[in-house]
Amino acid sequence: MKFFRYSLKKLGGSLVTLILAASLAFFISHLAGDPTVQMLGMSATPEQIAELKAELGFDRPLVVQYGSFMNELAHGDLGRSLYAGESNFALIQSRIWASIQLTMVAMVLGVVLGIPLGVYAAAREGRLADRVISSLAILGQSIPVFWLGLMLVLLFSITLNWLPAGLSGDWKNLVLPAVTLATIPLARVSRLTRAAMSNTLEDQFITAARARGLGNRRVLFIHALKNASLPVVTLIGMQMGILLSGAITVETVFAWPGLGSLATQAVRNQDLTLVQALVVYGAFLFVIINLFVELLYGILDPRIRDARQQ
Amino acid sequence: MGNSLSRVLDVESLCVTHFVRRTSARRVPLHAVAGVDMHIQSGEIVGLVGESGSGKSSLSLAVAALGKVTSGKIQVSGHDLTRMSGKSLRRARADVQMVFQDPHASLDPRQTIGSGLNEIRKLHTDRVSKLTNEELLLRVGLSPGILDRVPSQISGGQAQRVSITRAMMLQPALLIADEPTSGLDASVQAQIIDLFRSLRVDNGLSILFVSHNLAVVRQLCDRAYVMKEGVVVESGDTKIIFESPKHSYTKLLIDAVPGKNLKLAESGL
Amino acid sequence: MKNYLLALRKTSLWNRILLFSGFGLISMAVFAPVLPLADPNGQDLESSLYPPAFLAGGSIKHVLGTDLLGRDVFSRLIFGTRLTVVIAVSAVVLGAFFGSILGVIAGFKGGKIDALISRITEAQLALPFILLAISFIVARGQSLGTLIFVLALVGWAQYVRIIRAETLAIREKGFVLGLRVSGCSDFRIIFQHIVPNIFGTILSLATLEVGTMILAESALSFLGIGVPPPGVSWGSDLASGKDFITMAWWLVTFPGISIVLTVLFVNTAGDSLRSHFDSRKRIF
Repeated sequence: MKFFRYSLKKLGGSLVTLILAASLAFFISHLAGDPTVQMLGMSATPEQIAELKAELGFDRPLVVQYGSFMNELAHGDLGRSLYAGESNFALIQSRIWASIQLTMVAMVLGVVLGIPLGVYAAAREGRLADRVISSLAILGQSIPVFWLGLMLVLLFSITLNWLPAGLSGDWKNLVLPAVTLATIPLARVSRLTRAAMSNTLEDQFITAARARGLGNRRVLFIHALKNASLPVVTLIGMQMGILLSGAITVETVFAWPGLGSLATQAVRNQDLTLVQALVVYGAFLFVIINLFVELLYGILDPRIRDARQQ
Repeated sequence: MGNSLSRVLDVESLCVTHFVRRTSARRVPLHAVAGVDMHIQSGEIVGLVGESGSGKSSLSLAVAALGKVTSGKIQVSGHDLTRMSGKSLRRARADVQMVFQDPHASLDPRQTIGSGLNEIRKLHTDRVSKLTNEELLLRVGLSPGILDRVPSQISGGQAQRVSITRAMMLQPALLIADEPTSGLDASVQAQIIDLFRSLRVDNGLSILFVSHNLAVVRQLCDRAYVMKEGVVVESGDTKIIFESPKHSYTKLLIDAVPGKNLKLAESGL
Repeated sequence: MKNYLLALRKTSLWNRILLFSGFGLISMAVFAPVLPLADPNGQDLESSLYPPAFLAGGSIKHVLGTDLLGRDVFSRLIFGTRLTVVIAVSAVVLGAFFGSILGVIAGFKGGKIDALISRITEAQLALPFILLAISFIVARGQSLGTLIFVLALVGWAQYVRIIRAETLAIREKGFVLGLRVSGCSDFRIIFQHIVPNIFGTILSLATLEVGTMILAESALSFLGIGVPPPGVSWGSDLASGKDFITMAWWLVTFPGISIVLTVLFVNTAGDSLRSHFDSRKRIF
């Protein structure tokens, strides 16, 4: 019962966050005035500007625009692309799968590699392996993702000719972009796992288990991992936002037909409504994922879980 | 009892209610102070005794206009601070000053003692004592050398005296001391108690002394109030309360004090 | 200052190398206009796509080669430092200022104001940074000011959370009560007493953020919405160089290395600043 109430509370919170985020997205893009002047260029006459304004609804008072924006949003309508005239939602939907594919693979790679690396580094704390892994993780967070992608392309596609440099096709095309993007969660997850493991290893609980005579390795993995899993789960949720941002640049490097290239197109075409729709959609994804993570947390967190069993 | 004109503090039917989160869903009202009457005459030292959770802290904070007041009347030297705000409130604060339990937590760790005193001067130019910082410190038994130090560089006893200085330089009518000796060594405690006594004598100061240490209260205070769960269960002359307590709770508190301590208290620490 | 230099002696060799070379580069960047460097925007179509001097076809005049328009890569690297650092620092200062104030107010006042600020901060953090930046810049048009503002907009939320927690901790400490009883106004308490006590935290957070800002700026410039021309930015150099990756690898390699080195340097400097402040904080 406690879990149910917890979930309800989290759901309500997510909804509020979503509404606030969408509103923020609206106000930020409209804060800067309307884009009609931008769209028509320097040589536009006042009449042309006024006409375009009216056509696109930018001449209405801001509050009214906000109202219709939220209204449309509630109906799942993300507006129409200023450039192509198509429904923004449809445009996004056509590209979303490619991005999800890329992001998911990158996240999985990052976590699957990051956790063992973090554990290993914690086990060899202070020694060479730990310092190498930690330094690499720090380095990983100082490198622009898209540049890493370019370097990988240089090395593996051009020089060695092992892997294709993007576009989509079979799994081979996914390798480079996914690996590139995976460095973001990899660096974070390995650092966090290492820190979390390092903390719990010092726990008296572990000392007690050791005293009971369990083998060294078993102690490490079973007990410490369980305790360390909680913060990692939370991190995964938070990482999604950063990963989405990273994905945009990575997709540009590899000409991956996902949301990233859609965003770049929107930028080039000054397609304000599409950009706004992307922001809202991105927020929506982020909130959903976070909600999922929080619910997962509720299941894993012993305090809430035990109350459930009563 | 004295007429209300010479009353430094007059509290009538004071209620302080906090809202606490017992569960993640509901907020439950907690009646920290549930209808308390209290008064202090000019020049009196009055004790406020009770265990943690009795409401004595909420009461003292309310009187000092630092804490929430849900209903009731509080008058200090004829002013009701709870009805004031803004600049007039800040000015009127000089009437009732407070010294807190943790001497180091009451001082800005980044500010030297001297600049702290100067800041108070700036805030109350009309009312503040004409003595210099050095003289103020000497009065409480501190060396003026500490004026250039920061709180981390002085001891707990010194920090408490600094807090008392900061309070006294505004020449208040009422000084509230909330467990002022709990964080200090026994010997230092005695010095602080003596300081309070001399302040009363030299300045005609009234003191509300909040403590759970019955021995000290008995030694220092003329009258005392005993609080339990938000209400006053007994009040009166300290001597009478200690020798023939009427309420069962008071008896309980007194019995809990080891006899040795009482004897020491009587002999005057 | 003397304490800081003494503390410096204790840092590892690797850190010291990084810091000193960083300072060297920074001074080069600062004095760039008076150094004998080629004009970073000077086009020379005759010398288009020269490789670095140590390869065949390169010339000593262009140590690291040239781009399509014959502009000197090395010179662009140095000049790029100037703009990047200025942008990153400005964005951090702006973001830290507003974020910290909001954090202090949220922590100090508590109640409804705190709830409101926290909610908005959470909502802001839900929006993926690049998309937010894109929407603002597309609407506003590309300019240096817009770029700095957007970067600050993206960054301020980080400060609110941490500063709010610090302020709450200070409130718990009790000297706020002591100040209030002495007659300090809320305004005075916040600006004269709380802010000096959390300044160290703000500073450490800010130094961390500079690195993040540099990466963010290069990402935006890479997408074409960052530094407007004729400004020199490593990110936009990477974007234009990307098209020639098969024939001119130096165009994408060196600007990227500059970014990495600068971020590493900034983070290291920030780390040592932070440990310096932390040891002083222990007295707290």
